[in-house]
Amino acid sequence: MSIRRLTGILGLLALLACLSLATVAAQEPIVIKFWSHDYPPREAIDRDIIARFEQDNPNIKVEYTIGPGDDFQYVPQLLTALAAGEGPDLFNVLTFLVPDLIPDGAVVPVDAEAAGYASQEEIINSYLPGVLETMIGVDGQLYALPTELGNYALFVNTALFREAGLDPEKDIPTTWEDLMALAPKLTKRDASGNIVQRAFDFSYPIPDEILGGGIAFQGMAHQLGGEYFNEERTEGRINTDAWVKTYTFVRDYAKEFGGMALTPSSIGFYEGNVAMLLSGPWYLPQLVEANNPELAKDVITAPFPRWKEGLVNDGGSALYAYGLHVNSQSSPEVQEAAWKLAGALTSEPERYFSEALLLQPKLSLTENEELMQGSFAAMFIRDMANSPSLPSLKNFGELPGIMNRALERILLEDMDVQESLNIANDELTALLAKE
Amino acid sequence: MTMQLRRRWSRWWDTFNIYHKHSLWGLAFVLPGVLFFIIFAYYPVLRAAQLSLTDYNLLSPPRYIGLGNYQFIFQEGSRFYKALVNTFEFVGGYAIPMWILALALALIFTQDFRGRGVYRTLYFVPIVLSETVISIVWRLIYHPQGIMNAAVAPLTGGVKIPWLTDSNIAPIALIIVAIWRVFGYYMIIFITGLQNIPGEYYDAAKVDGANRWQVFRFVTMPLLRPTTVFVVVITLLNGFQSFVYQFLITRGGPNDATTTLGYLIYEEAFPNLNMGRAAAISMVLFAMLIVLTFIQLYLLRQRYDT
Repeated sequence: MSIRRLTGILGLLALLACLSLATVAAQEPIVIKFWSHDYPPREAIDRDIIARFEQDNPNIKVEYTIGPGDDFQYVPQLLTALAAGEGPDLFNVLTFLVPDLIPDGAVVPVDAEAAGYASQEEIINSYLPGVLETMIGVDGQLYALPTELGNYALFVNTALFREAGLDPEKDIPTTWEDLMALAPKLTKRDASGNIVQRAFDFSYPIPDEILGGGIAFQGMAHQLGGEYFNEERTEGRINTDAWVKTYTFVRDYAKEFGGMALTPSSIGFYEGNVAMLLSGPWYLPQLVEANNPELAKDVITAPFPRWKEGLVNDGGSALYAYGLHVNSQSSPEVQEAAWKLAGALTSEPERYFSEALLLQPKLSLTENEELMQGSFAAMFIRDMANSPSLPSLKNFGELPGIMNRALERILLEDMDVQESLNIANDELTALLAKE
Repeated sequence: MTMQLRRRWSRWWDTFNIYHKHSLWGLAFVLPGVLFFIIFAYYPVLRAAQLSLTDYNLLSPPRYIGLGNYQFIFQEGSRFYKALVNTFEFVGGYAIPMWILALALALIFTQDFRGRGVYRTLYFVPIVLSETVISIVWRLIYHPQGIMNAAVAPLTGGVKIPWLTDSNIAPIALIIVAIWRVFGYYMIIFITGLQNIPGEYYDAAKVDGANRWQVFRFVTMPLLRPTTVFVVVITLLNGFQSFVYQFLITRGGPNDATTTLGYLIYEEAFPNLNMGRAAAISMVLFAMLIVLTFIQLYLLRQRYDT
């Protein structure tokens, strides 16, 4: 065989190999790595939507991973993975991370067309006014699609009310002052003076407490005109009268009727020894029905209490939101596919609402009167009006730490409320300076 | 070509004397170990030192800020000081009682009595369990309605002790857990040390009329010194780096009462995203541990000099 012929055959073989590789590459599915936090009722719906999405898009495969435990564990793992270049393509996370994510270019703006909309404006207009504000960057672009907008309301164990001779319909407190006045009637102590049943308790920074106290405290302070910082975001405002009154109330209640030394109220409630607590709608399936299904039939909810004296803003607890973000390190094809999946995951808000008690705050859902009427979660939505959002700050973990230490100084070291909040305010101002 | 190379290599190799040849072989054998340490021990230390001079939040590139992080952690009122004091309190509260307990039990268990092996095993078991499992179990034990409060109820008149939610009691609660887990392990190490002391020394002491205390003071303790130095150094190093119990049982609370340097490093790094600040605290802890290691070397050298 001549050299020329051999070269020709080899060249032909190389060409065939390239063509077949290109064909294989074209058929290679796009893989989306998708992470979300742990909430089993939502996960079941997610998986169902993903299965249908994969059927409709045979060239896209989704690897769905549920992050470990609570946000305290999930968020560090997510950030570490993003930093190492091993992060998911699409992830669901609390939106107060946004100030850390957007300026550093970790996430990309929403691809409206891929998500099934004509423009970002159309997306914004399809949601409740203002709820996407925390997901918009300084460049005016939308960076996330919300999977959950949440707030806290009062959960009431009606059996304990009746046992104390109270009418659960009429005697549920609507104000903080009423709540304090009602406490002696629902509090039980043993012979040694230990509290064995609590009327109500806040969430404190203690082990096993899964509810965030800050969501309630911010709402209480906001009702009195309080805010975390000034408009310019240069100085803290957590040592004002509104915050002092809020923390004084919490201290006075904890000293007399509850406190950090007791079982977390999120556990005590489903154990049947706490008559009232503040939580989100997810608390019913996630904790009450999962741990004490018998109790669930005795549970009703009521709006977040207001202040009788000094009410400035008639709003509920602080609002928190989770949103779907897309990793900037993913390839453009994967980013597009990820936004397409995000669009699918936010296209059935009615189902998330009725089956998982999660509010994807779309107008199509909130204007659905048939679904809203008689819904357990509808009251939570009504209570969102005039409520503040959790603040978004860089170095997301520092603010809860500042607020927790302020409360602990007051409750554990008997420090004067004003003095403790002055310290916290200095810490917050220093944190704002980092921005 | 190959022959030429072989001859060159042979000529080069012959330039070394036998001592140098042995050294080169030695170096070749330790090279993998040295490389391992350079990559996985020394490089991270150097990188942490570099990071400690930057503002870094994991998501954007580190920004050089000089000694800014050190200035922050050493400023008046910084949480670093509280964590430093907590760390020393934890190390003191955990290490000293643990040494005494482990040694006392080792002295008992080197005596001959029935069931000795069973007791030794029972005391050793906690070290087999992971710190994570132990932390979860002890959190239940310390629960307000847990068995710890039930156990002390006769002493407290039924008043429940807030083991994990009182800033004075929580550090003690963690010390109890830490001691409980490791004292059996160090007891075994002390037993090994005691069994290595030749019986002739005790016989001679008895002939000289020494009482039990004198035998312990002038025979046992000096001859147990290498073991004691090992136990002391290892427990101090472990104590200064303590993190798991603080993270899993108390999350550094209440009111930072159990925030040790190890936990503060974690908190600054992950929830707070202050990697540079965390690296700066790590470097301070590293310096403290270096000092401890020098003390260990000094004590060991004294032992061999004498």
